[in-house]
Amino acid sequence: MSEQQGAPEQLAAGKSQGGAGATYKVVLYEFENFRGKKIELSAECKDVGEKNLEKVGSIVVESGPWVAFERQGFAGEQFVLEKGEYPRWSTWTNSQNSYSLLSLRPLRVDSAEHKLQLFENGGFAGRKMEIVDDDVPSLWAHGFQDRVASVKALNGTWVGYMYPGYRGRQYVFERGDYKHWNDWGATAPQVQSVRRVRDMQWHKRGWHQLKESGKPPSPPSISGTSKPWTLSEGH
Amino acid sequence: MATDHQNPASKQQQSGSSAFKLIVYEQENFQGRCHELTGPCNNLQEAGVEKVGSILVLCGPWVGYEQPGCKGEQYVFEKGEYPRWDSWTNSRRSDSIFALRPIAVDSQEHKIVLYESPSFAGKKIEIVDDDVPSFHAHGYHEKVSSARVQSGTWVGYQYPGYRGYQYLFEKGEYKDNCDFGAQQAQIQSVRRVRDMQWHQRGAFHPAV
Repeated sequence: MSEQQGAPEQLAAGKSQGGAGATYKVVLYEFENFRGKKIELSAECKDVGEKNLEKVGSIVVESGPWVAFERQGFAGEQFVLEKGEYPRWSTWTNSQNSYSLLSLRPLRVDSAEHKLQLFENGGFAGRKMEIVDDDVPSLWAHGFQDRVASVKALNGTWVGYMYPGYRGRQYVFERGDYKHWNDWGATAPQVQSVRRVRDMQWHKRGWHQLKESGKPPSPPSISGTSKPWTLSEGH
Repeated sequence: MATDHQNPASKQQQSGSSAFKLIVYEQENFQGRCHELTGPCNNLQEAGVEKVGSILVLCGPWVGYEQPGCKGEQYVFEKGEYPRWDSWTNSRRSDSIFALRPIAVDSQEHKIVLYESPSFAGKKIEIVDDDVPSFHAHGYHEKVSSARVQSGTWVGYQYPGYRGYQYLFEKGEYKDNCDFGAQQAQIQSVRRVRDMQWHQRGAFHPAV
């Protein structure tokens, strides 16, 4: 594994998460609260039903991020799943329109830089807003109160949301051009907040500073008083 | 009443002066009777607002509460439009808002420390000037039972990706999860509350 530091696997002891050899792992449970039949995935799955899981009631993302979809074949509403625990369906959907999750795939975050352009009109025309290396909880607060009809994701992976504060339906923007809002799965040209998809696996620099350079913090099994885990922004 | 609100772009943000402003509409999609707020309101009903159907935040940020007296579930409102109750709640537990107040974002720096146990004990995670969409991805798998906010204003969430109940953390100490309005000591993501009025720096270029 081409790792700069010696042991970046401070996250879950024993679970290797490399930079270059990125690993993804998600566990899907049939019932809420991590009960019932479960399946483990480390690569994309077009149809969860094919793995003999009748439905997805809860999820644990051990290594991500992932993007899941309401329907098979990576279609329908999108749900971004970062590392953590999701005890029931209402914890991964922002719209709560549908409780089904039928396909999912790893979300590639292959750039440490993030650059996104949002356009008022389709075909990358009209007023434009450019965002570099930051999250924007309110586009309006930054002077962009227009609709968002087309998008260019120049670098990094982003998630856009219908409402401010990262609420409402989620739209994943992987690197590429989105000429029309249908291209990102929206039925209306409305995006009011947008953020980068970042994950420790790739964003070791800038995003957080290890107190002793090169040395990762202790694994979570440490007891007693803690070792502070400091994160800071690297502009 | 809703006269000059079709064109929010014409409302200039006065950077430097804290001019909070939001409009509450009694019906969805910014219809029906509307009420303009420029300061805190502990009891919207008593102030004549029958119900909150949609909200337009012209200058924020604000925090709304499910119950009068700024109690119950919390909803953070940054500048923008919220056409329905489900646009401001992640939990969808309740469609009521009975109190609203501005959030003072009076610091450009942001520093928060969250602790596993009450009274600032146990394992901790310290975050400076950044947002953390997943605590687990940073090696913090513990509960969050107490917190110290040294600077800035933050919002914590039950689940990763800023989902679930919202917990506003203003500068100060929160000894127990009840102090930040949580029934369970669970927070899996946290972010800063920022607003252009105070955070002019940053990487935004509204190119014309």
